Amino acid sequence: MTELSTLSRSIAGRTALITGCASGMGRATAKLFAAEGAHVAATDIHGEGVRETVAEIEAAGREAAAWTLDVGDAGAIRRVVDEAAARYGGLDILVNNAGISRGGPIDADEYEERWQETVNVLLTAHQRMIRAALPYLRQSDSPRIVNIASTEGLGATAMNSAYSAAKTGVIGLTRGLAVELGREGITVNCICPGPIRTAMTARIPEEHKQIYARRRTALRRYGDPEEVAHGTLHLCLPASSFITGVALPVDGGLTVRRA
Amino acid sequence: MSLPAEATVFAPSTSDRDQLAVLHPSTDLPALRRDGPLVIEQGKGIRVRDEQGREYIEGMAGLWCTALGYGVEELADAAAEQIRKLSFSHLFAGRSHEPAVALAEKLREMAPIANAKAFFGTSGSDANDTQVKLVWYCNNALGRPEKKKIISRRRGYHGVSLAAGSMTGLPTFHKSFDLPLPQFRHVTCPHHYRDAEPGETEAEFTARLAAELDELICAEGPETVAAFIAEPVLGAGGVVVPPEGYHPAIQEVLDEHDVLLIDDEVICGFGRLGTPFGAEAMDMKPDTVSVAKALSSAYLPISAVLVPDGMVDVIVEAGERWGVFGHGFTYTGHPVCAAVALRALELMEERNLFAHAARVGRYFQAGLRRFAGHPLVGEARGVGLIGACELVADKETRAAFPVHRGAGAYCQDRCLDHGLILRALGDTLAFCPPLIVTESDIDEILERFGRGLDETLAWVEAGGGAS
Repeated sequence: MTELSTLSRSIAGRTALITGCASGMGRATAKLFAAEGAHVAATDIHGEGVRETVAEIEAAGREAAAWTLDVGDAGAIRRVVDEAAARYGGLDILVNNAGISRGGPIDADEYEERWQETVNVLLTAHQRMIRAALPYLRQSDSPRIVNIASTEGLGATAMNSAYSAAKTGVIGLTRGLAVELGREGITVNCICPGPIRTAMTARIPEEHKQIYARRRTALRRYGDPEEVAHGTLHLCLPASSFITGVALPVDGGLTVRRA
Repeated sequence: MSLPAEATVFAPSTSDRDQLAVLHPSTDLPALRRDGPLVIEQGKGIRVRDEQGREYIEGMAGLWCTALGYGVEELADAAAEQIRKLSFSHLFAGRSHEPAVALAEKLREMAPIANAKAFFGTSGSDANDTQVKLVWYCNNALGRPEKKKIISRRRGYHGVSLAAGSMTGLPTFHKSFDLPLPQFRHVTCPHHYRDAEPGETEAEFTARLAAELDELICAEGPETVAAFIAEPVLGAGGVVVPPEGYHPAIQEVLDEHDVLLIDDEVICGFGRLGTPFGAEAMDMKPDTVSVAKALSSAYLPISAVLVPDGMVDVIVEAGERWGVFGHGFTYTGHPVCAAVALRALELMEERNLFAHAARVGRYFQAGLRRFAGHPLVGEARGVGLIGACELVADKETRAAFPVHRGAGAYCQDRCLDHGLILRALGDTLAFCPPLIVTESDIDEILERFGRGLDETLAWVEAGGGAS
């Protein structure tokens, strides 16, 4: 086999810091990365949820540790990143996954407040996590950054403009840093999940999920968090060394379907 | 107005869900399948918002019905209070309840006929079906079982159920539904602009229509004709105001042949023409009356048939021979609908709404008439707070546009673009704003309409829809 392929498709032994691991795509990513042999530093604002994720990983005989982290808190970010790097002796992979959804029309009284919160958690936190992790990533031989954007960063749904703006910003941040950090061999990519069964979409009734998926996606179904996690894993492989600055839709064909 | 609820990403729009689950009433269904619905989500005052948060002036008061406008707290409270106290009881088999009695008393006090009793339903259609059944029942009770035919006007609108739909004089509601039923006849619409002979004055036109009615009754045999039904001003048929003297002339014929006049006040009732009932504005002397729509300001579905004591006596006496009076609906006199309707009528009084409607109605009519000079407008017409502009291809000859061209629908859509909901009845654009509308609201309505109309003219001149 070694004669046929030279690049590694394994993240075994590498350290991945993943935010938003209490549920959904973050939890699925943490479990997949642990299953692939990575050391997972899992964080979430919901301490109990992230500890459950870690417990599941440990029960499977894999390695992970939990931190309670509000990514809206700049000081906490630096502390947790430093602790995680100290625990595992560095960082190879950063997955900025934590997110919130705060919709509402542009002329809503509470728009300003929602905008601030949305941009802070969905966009500002990404650059802060990256800035905090950068010194450690620079020490890695295959440094990888994956930001979770959204198909809402490629198109938009009405009355969701703050979210859409922040996700579009994540794509811009990804591209900017891909160019900026490229000379150091750090790849920066983002994933644009579409309709996925997560906490964010939990309140959409199953019947409505099916109507939406049948009308809008090529695959005619909602996706599962693990399907997004595999997209993220792909971008984190040592073998994905020449892929940078991309925004990869993992959306069942939502963005390509016209009718 | 509060803003639309938080949108959900990756959820189907209400419009998407609608297409799967709803069969729409009175709709061009292929066009709906192609274009999807306009989903209205909220309303306050005379304005509504769609699911995208766009605001519109409801220039049609919904379906000619939201007299007090949207979001009236007192009506929400009246409904909530009654639901908590007694959410349902009925009027069958000797039951009664306070809200139905109080509303019936209020209607007896207001009605344009003396000593009226109320029979409740939930829509104008069922009210008009009830009218037919009561007339038939009474004539059976009076020993004249042949006297059953009902006469209405072409372009009249009285609903869509089997009897009401038969009285309606619009082909859309007949074709493919095997209507009208055999006992129903139609006479000429009293629309001088469209139905008068060349050179015929309004007086001559009126005399001709009265003669036509007389001839029809004679041809059918007066002993077979039970009633004539009329809206004071025709609504869905294109907002047609009959010529002065029309109703008195018709009344003379009806009196001569002992034919009842059923007054369909479903649209005109409760201030629409600037008077409490349309009968007062149009000089009608009805025997019975149908009301619905503004009766509850459309907050809840309710209708009533108002019949004089004498007619009720006939029905009661028949009961001695025939037993139970076998007509009524589960929701006849529904206590919540009745409580809300009573509160709506009280609010109309407290706010002096009919006088307001008369005042702003004059302002509206003057404004609407200014469009009569527009190259597309054949006739600008109306009374009180109901009006219309009829678009024509040629003002001189009054030639209409070919139906397939859809000039009225195009104008309706352009008005919608400018945030104004009107209704195209063929190529006639109908106006029927909530009665709470102010003079400045009317300015805004007419300004938006003017823009839509000018765009329609540009479209017509460019040959739009002509292929």
